[in-house]
Amino acid sequence: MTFKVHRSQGFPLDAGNIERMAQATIAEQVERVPRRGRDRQSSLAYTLVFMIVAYLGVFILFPIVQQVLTSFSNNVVGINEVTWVGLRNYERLLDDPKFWVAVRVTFTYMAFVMTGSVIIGLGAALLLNRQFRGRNMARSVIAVPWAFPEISAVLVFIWMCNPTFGVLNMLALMFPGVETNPNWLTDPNMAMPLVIVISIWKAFPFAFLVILASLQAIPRDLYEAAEVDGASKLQMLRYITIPEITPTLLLMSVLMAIFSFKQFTLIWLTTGGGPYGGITETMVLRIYQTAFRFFDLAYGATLGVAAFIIVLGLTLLFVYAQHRQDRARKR
Amino acid sequence: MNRPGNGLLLPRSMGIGRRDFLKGTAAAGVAAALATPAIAQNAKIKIPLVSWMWSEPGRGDAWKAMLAKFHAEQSDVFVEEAGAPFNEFNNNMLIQSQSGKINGAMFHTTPDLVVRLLRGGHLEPLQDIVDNLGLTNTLSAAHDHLRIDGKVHGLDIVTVKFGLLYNSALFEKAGVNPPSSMDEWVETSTALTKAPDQFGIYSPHLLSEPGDFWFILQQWAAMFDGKWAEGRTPLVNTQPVIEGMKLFKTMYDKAMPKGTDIATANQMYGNGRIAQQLIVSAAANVWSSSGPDVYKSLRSAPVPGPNAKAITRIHPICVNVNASDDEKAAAKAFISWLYKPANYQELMERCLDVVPPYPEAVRKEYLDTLFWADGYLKGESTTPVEIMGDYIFFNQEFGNVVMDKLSEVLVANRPVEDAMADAQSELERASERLFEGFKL
Repeated sequence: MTFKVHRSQGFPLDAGNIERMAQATIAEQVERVPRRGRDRQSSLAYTLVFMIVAYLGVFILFPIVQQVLTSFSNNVVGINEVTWVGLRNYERLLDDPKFWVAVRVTFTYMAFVMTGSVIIGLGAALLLNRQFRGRNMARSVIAVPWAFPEISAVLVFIWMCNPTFGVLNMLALMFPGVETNPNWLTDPNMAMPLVIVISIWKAFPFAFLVILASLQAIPRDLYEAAEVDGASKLQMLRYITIPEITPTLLLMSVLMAIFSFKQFTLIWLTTGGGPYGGITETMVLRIYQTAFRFFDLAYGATLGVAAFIIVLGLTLLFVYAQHRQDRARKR
Repeated sequence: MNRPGNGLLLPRSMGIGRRDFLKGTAAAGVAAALATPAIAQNAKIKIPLVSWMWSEPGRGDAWKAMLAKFHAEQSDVFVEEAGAPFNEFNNNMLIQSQSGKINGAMFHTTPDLVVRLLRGGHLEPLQDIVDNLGLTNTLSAAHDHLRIDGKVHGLDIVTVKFGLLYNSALFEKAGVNPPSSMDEWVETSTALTKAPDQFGIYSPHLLSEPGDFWFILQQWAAMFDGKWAEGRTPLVNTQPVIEGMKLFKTMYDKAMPKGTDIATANQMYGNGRIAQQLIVSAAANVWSSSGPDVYKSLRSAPVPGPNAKAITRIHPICVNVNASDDEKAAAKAFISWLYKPANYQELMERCLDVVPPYPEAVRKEYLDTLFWADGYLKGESTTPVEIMGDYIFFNQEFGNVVMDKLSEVLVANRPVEDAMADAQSELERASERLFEGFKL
């Protein structure tokens, strides 16, 4: 309707004019709304905004501030008086070898889980993006680990890895040189790889689903044009598919990094951070152990602040990478 | 307390039909829907009893039955179930205590939790109950560490003692007797092991189950008359503790299902695939309800060894000092009722407990029927307070260090002496931090 009016006035119908016309129409409508109605609308908007801000303030901001304040205290369960200790907990953090072990373990775990789940997710998505009989069934089946509750999944793996009667023993004994049942989750050399494998198995379907959706959004005509130009499958993957889904891969990498950084249930239930010496103790486990097993709330809060800074760094890195990519695309 | 979880490896005898389950659930639901609101509405005051026992097979049912009896006898007070499972219970209570106030008018506690709550000033004196019931001179000495200015601040609701709980059918089949020395114990346990079908013994040993791991590990040193700490000095590198850890390692290598979690081990015990457990007397009640076949074969022996001592743990019921006057009065009314000899005898018999808080709380005829209790009634005792020193206030923190180092011994074959020397250094460093600003 709006277009007709303006066409009769003889304006050229380009994108800029459409935007201006739309703005003018909205402005006219706002003018027509009575003042009392406008007040009611704006008070509703303020109420809604206030609710969001209040929610963020109470449930996000307040705990963060409280945590930072606790990290400057000597709050340990059992002491008589909580006092401020300045930067003492942060000095302890820098000198604490267990913290650095936890940082190393966290980044190792994060790197493997992120890379593994994105690569396997990408491979599965490429495979299941092709036409074949039973494709929908395969897509559903591959998503099962993601939907499976973590505790149930861990219990199943714990039984599979039981050194006495776990089913994996049968497989291990088929390998030459393996004569006794491996200790699996209690073996210092196998615990971390197993935790990583279980984590990838649990995480990759999410990457698969998102990447698959991204693959399906690539315009078909790009492939058709490439085919006409005689491009091979590999060249199409290299020059069309990968560049088109790079933002998704980047997003998945950051999300997987953050998910794996925050992972607690799976590691806690499989190894509890062991088998000893913090071999699988990530920062999140270290925070839990410190605050709720050693009841050292102040130092637990300090570790929490350090973890918060690391996650913030990862997020900023993602924002920067995405920004750079957007600029590159525009160019 | 170590207890069977509800794992998927249920023994055949524990299975119930779908129809039975539905019938039971429906009946319980209807009864609860009809009875509970009526009782609760008539009650003048409702108070929660915060405990880990509600979900514990056997003991939870016993406590529910006692509450039902209490509600049937009076209508002034209604006691509600509240709490968390055992592995998280102490943590929840300690975090609440640090925030300044514990929720709930009345709660069950463990030996290490109660001393922390007592020290934090969270507990109401219960001496008036003891005096009114005429128990002033007969209450067990185990309550002594719960006294401030002569007034007791918690009353025992179950005292558990360590012993060797074994499957007599497996012992008979292997032609072995309960051990009387450490060497004999190792030989017996090895003879009972036919991996992977049967194992001589199980003791929790995974860092993912720290509560139960440490709870039972403490007993392994006590068998050599060892103490983990004296005052604020850790003693983990002393000879008795090292001997205890060496014995644990030997048993781990020769007779335990390595890497097995507690839920699975308990199912194996219920299926007759584990011959013995070094465990507290309360475990028998679990098997009476969840493993009737193995229960018939259960027998106990005192913990082996010439100087062996069994840790005896008192679990008191306490009243929250921060509750309102009405709530405190209601809580005390319930505890007074519970502590009457007839009611306490019923509680003990429902829970299959063996150590009474005062002599009249148990019937001799009842003890005579407990075919498995013999070993728990014999042998010397010690308490967590005696073996942990001032670290009783930081029991789990202390245990975490020891368990981490012992795990190196178990899975990486590190010498016990080296691992315990490391643990000693770490605990000495930690003690400076733990006891800073700490006043008894």
